[in-house]
Amino acid sequence: MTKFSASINLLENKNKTLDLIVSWTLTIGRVLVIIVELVALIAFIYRFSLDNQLQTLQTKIKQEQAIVAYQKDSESKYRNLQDRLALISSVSKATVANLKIFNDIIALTPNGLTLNNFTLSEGKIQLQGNTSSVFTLSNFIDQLKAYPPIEGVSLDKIQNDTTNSTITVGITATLKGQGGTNALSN
Amino acid sequence: MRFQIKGIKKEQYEKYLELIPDLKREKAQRYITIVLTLTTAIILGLFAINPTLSTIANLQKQINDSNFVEQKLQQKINNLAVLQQSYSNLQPDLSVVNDAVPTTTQIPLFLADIQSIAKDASLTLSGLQTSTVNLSGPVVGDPASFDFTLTATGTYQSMIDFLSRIINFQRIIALKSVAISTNNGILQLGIKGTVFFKQ
Repeated sequence: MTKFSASINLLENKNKTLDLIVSWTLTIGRVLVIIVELVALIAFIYRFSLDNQLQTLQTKIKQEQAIVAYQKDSESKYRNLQDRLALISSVSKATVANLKIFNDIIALTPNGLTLNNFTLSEGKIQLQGNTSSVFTLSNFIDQLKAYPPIEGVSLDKIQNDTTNSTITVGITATLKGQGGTNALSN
Repeated sequence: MRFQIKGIKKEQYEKYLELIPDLKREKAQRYITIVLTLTTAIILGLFAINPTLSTIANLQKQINDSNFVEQKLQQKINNLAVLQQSYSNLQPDLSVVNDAVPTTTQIPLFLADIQSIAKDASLTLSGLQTSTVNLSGPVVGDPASFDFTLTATGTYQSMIDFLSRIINFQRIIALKSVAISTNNGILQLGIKGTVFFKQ
C-alpha cells in the first residue's frame, strides 16, 4: 500500500514552466486589477458626462416641443392650404386633360361622319354616329387607335340602313390609366 | 485538557492539518495571490464594470434617441419658419384658393355662378341639380364634396365655350361625365361633376 502524503505541493520543484506561468500571472494579475479599477473609474466618470448630455438634450427637446406646440394652429393652417392646393392641382390637371381629349376626338372626326352622341365618362368615350362610307368609318377608327391617350377601341354596333345608304355605328374607346389623370371622375 | 473532536482522533486531526497549505511557502503565496487576483477581477467585472457599462449603453441609446427627436423637432421648426414665410408670400392669393375650395358648400353661390357662365356662353340651361348635402351634421370626407348634374341646349360652339369657362371657373369642378347628343335636331349637353369644399 502506497504511503499517502498529507502535504500539498501544488508546484513541483522541477517544473520550470509552471513557475514561469505563475510569475507571469502574478505580474499580469496586478496590472489586471489596476486596469479593472481604472475602467470602472473612467466608466463612472463617463456616466456623469452622459447624464449631463442627456439632461441638456431633454431640456432642448422640451423647449422645441413648446415652440412646436405654440405653432400648432399655424401648422394646421399650412396643412389645410397644402391640401387645398394639391386638390386644385390634381383636379385642374385631370379636367384640362379630359377637355383636351374631348376636343381632339371631335377634331379627329372626318367630314363624312356625323356624331349623334358623344359621351366621355369613367375613363371611356362612347360615340354614336352615322356615315355613308365604310372607308370614312375605317379611317376614323384607325385615327382613334393611333390617338395616344386611347388604350383600346371597340365597335359596339354597326347597322347598315340600305334605304338611306347610311351606316349607323356605336364605338367605345377606353382611355389609358382608367381612374387616373385621363379618367374623368376624380 | 485533552484535545478531542467528536469522532476524530488526534492522529487523524494532525493528518488533516497537514493538508492545509503552508502559507509561509512562496509557491503557496503565489497561488493564493493568483486566486485572489482573479477573484478580484471577476468581482470588479461583475459588480462594478458590468452595471456601469450597461448603464452607459442605456444612456448612450437614450442620447441617440433624444438626438434623433431633437433633430426632427429642429427640422420641423425650420420647416414651419419656411412655411410661415411662404404663407405670408401667398397671402394675396389666398382668396383665390379659398374661392376654389371654400370652407362651406356655398351651393346657392355655385348654382348662380353656373347659371351666369351658361348665360355668358349663350347656353340655355334646362336642368341644374345638386346631390343631397347634409348642412347640419358633421362634414363627411376630406375634402368634402357634392355632385351636380347639368343639362343644357345650344350650339356646339357655345357648349365648347361653356366647357372652357367651367375649367377656368374660380371654383374647382371635377367632371365625371360630359355628353353631347342630338335629339330631334337639338344639340344637348349633359354634365355630371363634383364640387369640393374643405373645412
